[in-house]
Amino acid sequence: MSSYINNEIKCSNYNFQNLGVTIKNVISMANYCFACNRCVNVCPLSHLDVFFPRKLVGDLILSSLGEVLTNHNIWNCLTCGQCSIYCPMTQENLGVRIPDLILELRKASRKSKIQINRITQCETHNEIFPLISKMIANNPISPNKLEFLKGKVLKTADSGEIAYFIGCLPLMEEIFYNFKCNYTEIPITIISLLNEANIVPVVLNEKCCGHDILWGEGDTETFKKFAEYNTQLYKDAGVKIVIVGCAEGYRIWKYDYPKIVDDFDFKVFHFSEFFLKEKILEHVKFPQSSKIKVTYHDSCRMGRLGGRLYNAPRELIRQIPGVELIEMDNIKDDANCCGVATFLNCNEYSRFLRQNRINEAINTRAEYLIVSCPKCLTHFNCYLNEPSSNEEKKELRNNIKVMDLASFIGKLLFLV
Amino acid sequence: MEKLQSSVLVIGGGIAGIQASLDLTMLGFKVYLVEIKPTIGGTMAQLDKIFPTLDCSLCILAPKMVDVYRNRNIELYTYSYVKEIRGYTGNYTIKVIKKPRYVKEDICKGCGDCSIICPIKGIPSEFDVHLKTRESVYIPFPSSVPPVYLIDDKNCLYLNFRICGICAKVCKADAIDFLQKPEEITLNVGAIVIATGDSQEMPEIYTSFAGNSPNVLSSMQFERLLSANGPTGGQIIKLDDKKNPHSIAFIQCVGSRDVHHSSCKKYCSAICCMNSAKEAIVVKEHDPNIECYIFNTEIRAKGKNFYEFIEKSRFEYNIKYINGHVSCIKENLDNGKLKLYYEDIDKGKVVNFEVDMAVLASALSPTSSYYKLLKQINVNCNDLGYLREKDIILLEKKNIFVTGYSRKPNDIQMAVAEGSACAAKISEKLSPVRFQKIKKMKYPAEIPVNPEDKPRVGVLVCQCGTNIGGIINVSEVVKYVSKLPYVVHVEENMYSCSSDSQELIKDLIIKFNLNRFIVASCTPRTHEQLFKNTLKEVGLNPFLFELVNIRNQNSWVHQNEPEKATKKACDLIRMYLGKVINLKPLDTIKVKVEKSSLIIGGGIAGITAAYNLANQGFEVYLVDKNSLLGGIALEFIDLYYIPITKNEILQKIDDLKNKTNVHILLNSEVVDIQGYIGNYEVKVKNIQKNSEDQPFKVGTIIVATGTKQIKTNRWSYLSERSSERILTQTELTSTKDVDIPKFMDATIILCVDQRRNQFNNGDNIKTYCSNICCGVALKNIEKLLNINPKAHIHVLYREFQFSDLNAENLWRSLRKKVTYEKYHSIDDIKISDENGKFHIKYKNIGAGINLEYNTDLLILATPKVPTDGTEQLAKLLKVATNKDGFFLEADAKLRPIDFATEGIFLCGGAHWPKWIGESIIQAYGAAGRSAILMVKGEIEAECITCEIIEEKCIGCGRCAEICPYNAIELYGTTKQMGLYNINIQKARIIKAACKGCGGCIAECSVGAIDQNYFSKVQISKMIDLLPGIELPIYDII
Repeated sequence: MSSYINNEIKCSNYNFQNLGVTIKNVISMANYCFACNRCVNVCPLSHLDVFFPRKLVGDLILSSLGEVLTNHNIWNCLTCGQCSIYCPMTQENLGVRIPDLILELRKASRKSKIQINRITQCETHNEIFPLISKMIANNPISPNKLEFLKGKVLKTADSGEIAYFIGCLPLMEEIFYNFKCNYTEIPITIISLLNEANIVPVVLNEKCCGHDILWGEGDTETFKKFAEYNTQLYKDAGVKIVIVGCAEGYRIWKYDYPKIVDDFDFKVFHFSEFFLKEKILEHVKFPQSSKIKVTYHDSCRMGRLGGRLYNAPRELIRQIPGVELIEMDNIKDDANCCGVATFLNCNEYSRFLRQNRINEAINTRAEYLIVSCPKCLTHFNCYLNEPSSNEEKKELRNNIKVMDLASFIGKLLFLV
Repeated sequence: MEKLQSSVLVIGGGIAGIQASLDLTMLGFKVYLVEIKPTIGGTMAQLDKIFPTLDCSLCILAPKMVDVYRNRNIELYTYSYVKEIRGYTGNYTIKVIKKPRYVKEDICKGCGDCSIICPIKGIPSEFDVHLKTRESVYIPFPSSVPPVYLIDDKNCLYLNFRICGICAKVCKADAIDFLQKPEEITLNVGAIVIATGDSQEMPEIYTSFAGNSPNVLSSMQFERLLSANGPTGGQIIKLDDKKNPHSIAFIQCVGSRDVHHSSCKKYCSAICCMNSAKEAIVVKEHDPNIECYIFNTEIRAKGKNFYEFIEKSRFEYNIKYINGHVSCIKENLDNGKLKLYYEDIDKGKVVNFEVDMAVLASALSPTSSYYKLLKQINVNCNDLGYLREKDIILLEKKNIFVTGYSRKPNDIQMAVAEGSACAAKISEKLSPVRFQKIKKMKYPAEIPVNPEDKPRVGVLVCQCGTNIGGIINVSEVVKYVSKLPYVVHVEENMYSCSSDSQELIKDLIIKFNLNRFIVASCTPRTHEQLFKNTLKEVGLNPFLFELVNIRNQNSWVHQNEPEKATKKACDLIRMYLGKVINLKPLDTIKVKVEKSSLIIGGGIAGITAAYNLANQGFEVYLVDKNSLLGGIALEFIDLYYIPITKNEILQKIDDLKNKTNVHILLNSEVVDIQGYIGNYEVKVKNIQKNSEDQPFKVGTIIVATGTKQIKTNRWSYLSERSSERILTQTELTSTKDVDIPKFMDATIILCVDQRRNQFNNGDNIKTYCSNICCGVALKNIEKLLNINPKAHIHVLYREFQFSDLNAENLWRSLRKKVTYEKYHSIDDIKISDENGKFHIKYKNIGAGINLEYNTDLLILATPKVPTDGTEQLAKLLKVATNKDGFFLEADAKLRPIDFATEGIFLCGGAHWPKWIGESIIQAYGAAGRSAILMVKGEIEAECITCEIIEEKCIGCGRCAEICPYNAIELYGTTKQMGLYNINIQKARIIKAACKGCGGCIAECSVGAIDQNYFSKVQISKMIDLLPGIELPIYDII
């Protein structure tokens, strides 16, 4: 335990939370590593000379935590989970588990001055998203997100067994109005199709799921408030099954809430899983007959970090008549990252990753790039709508359109 | 050679005078600004809102007034008048009488303690057109310039009876001086600008309009009533019973367009229609339930998109326009309402109607001081009360320039353009003596302040007479501030803005070796620059200073809570301390400006601008697509009393050809423009030879590309068979008399495919009014009558838009051979072709009957649109156009000839279809504005600019797209990133063009842009210190 004592002395200017537990945890995770270097070979950032997972893990064992955190910028990691897939020493709840390790480090160090500066350096959109989250968390009244349902003939309930979690989509529509992503088409489509199958989902004005505040800032206090509020809200409404329409919400409900909420007792489904289970699309008649070529981008939060939910969305796409799915070169476990998770780190590196992924999609000659994560949707569209070198981009925009899976279905059925 | 004086006398401190003065000083001339009232600002200061932008009038004027006040090269004589003008062209001796204010102008701080105590109250305020009262010692309005009180010698007890004198006792600055006498000042000037503005007569004189009723107001009185600092604080209430009115009638043409009554004006005042529409909109915005009626004979909306403003008031605000002149208003004593008698022309019925209030759009005329001045310089005016064009030209030869409302009835936008135009003309005449009397400030070398130096802050807390000291416990604030970290010295004083305080600040900075300074006093708007200059004078970078407003935002608004106000003062100073210690010195960047100008378009505007700039000694590149200079103006030149004849234009063109500093590029178009203000590189292509000329560098660009008239698709079935007998107005003008088909009866149809509402949109159908067609029609009538004096001519019109001094005379004199016939909608006019004649059928408004007749020739007033290539040019210049394709100026009112992008200017038809006279004025204005940049050969760029953090930028280009000043450019670079070598783009700020507006910062999604002096760190430190100073000291920085 020499390194532990060492840590305590050298980290005196670090204001760690639960220092003992964290360090113990982190070191026990790091101890699995035998420096096989596979993580570095797949980490998109280490190819770009930005972040080195193997070195971080190695340093954790050898140097003090203070030094490690000074030498490695843990906020640069995209937590895309590519490393964990190839790491021979990672199991579901055991092993190196680099994304979890990063999260632990973030949680522990987030209040020290040097790390606050680093977070500020990485923040995008003038830090509006963490600010919104914190405001929602600390405010008894959350903003009315259900405004968009007004005037629509959608049936929703205040209590019942099946709930549909909307998440931050209506808020994102307000903020990213200029990309015309139409985020609310996603809930409109999902609720319409549920109604179509005679399911009236519970739709409540829940608070933010807390994904960004947890993974982006390591802020467990705020995250806990969200987890408790949302689960209590659903419990009070008698909910047993939670349907989630976005990748991040899915990950949070399925894997992060149970860790923090004591009596978590919900079955969580991504809408694609639920639709397949209930055979919803099989009973729907699609009006169009023309052939559409699409390709599908796996998001990390539904894939590598979300129980590898690869087949359900693909199956759903196959159920749409006339739609042909052409796969990109790197899919499923190997799917390349969209570049930005948690609205952190939009920079020249992540832009390069985005550019690569878009090009990969264009190479399939598909007309649509279907995504299932609103963040991927935002960031791909942001890239395509950049005003710089307009002519070139215009051609790209002509080649491919990025669309959410639910919106895509909704469009074909004229639901939105 | 006669001796030229390098100074100019500007008479009148309204917007025209202010604009001329500011431009003149920047062109290198000393200005003496004489204003008869105690404050500058003129009519515009009294207005609540301005049309068509509905901006707050004073909000956009006040900064200009402050600029005048601060300008070291403007000597301001308010409450003064010109007694005598002697001398000769270029060297006049002026005697100015400065009336006694009985308040020392250099000592008074405008705190207002004297006015509060003054026992004489209830004097009608001139500024509020007698709707509000003032004291005997007063200031016209709170933002008066100079911000100095004066004593009304007619009402003051001391001056009349030697009693009272209490103001002198309460004045802490000792500024009252009852012994002041009128002062005579002698000035030597090279040129004179007369900008005495307008005046509106009181409605009382119009007995038939119940002028004595408190509910009948003049439009200026109503403007004051609407204004937030007016008599009712902006509430619309009736002045007798203080109740809200339910209906308001606006009566147009009161006392104007009347040749019969000697007390009335014969001309159209030009602005009342728009003004009433604006006032009605403001009423509707206050309370949509108040019904507004505008009684008019015709609505004259002359100006860029003004007609659409009227339409907006009609449809969006539901303001009712009644076509009929009110002949008489009587008070109904039973219910206190006003009874209007009028004929509704549309319905052909005589009606009476009751409203709660009436606003008289009463005639505007030049002021009485204008006529006194004209006597001084020995010129007479015509029967309209205005100078004749030929007299104006003669005066200009003598270096005397008439501008603004004293030249012609005009709105603010034209007054601004004319002010700039006067400056340009004077600059041309006095260019040999430029800069001779301009004061230059010399500052000591700057004390270096490094980021690692410990901040040493000095704080001065101002009492501002009793303004701050009467409410806030200043000593307590001083005690609190002295304990704050980094504060080395703090003290209180009576007036921080006084000149001895400036010396005190300098002494403190040296004595305590201070490197930051805070003054807690009043508003930065008026005083920040003063203190920054003081810092500069002692060698401290002016951006190491902050002004904390503890007056307007504290003692004034918390008068009843002195304790809380004291605490708030402490809080505010603490917050600003957080910012000040994080400030960094900023350098002033000087940008070289090429002394050459590119003028695009060789019409009358382009020629005028080129001529003016060439005579001022600048290189001029005049580019035109055609093979000849002169543009369409040469075809239109014989109309009206235009200040220039055809021969003079041709002479000017010849002169231009002979000048060595003028390069005329005909048959050419601009194909590429790179660079920024002062440093543009231009490529021009010869269209005929299809060859590119040598690229050249210019400092400024003037756009004068003009307009053209389009064809119509309406009645296309007629043109299939008899197209030669259907002409647009321009075609008629440019066709030789002999080539026009024979006719006995001709019809001119106005408003074809223009002034249509949004529901009638289609190709070539415009919602706007081209403004000049009505006037062109008059000229065309003359032309047609010239060809066939026996012919009968019909003019089918909707509303005549010639609010020009002489147009109505011309209109009247042509009436013998012409019938003017009013129609309602173009869709009602049915035309068929019968045996070689056009058969016209329409419903006449006024007569109220359907008329049918045959005619031989159709002349159509189709819309005027920007010339071909305007869109491409806008792209090259990276400037905006409006929805109709005309170039978009920086501000519709106060910057009508500037683009938002610095260094590019706009004049003539490219801005909006307009008269030759107006085009010439704008051209001079544009030349003057561009000369301002070029005279010194360099300009000082804004210090508060944005900065791009290169490593954070991802080159998405959103900032460059949103920047209104084109101050951001993208550049490509390559970067080695790990295994890859990547081509990336980065954005870069052009410091010379950046205005520091911060738009890019909000747009940047990656936080790569920050603003000097308002950086994210500086602002967040202020916020950190909002709740208190519990943070560890080192965290503040």
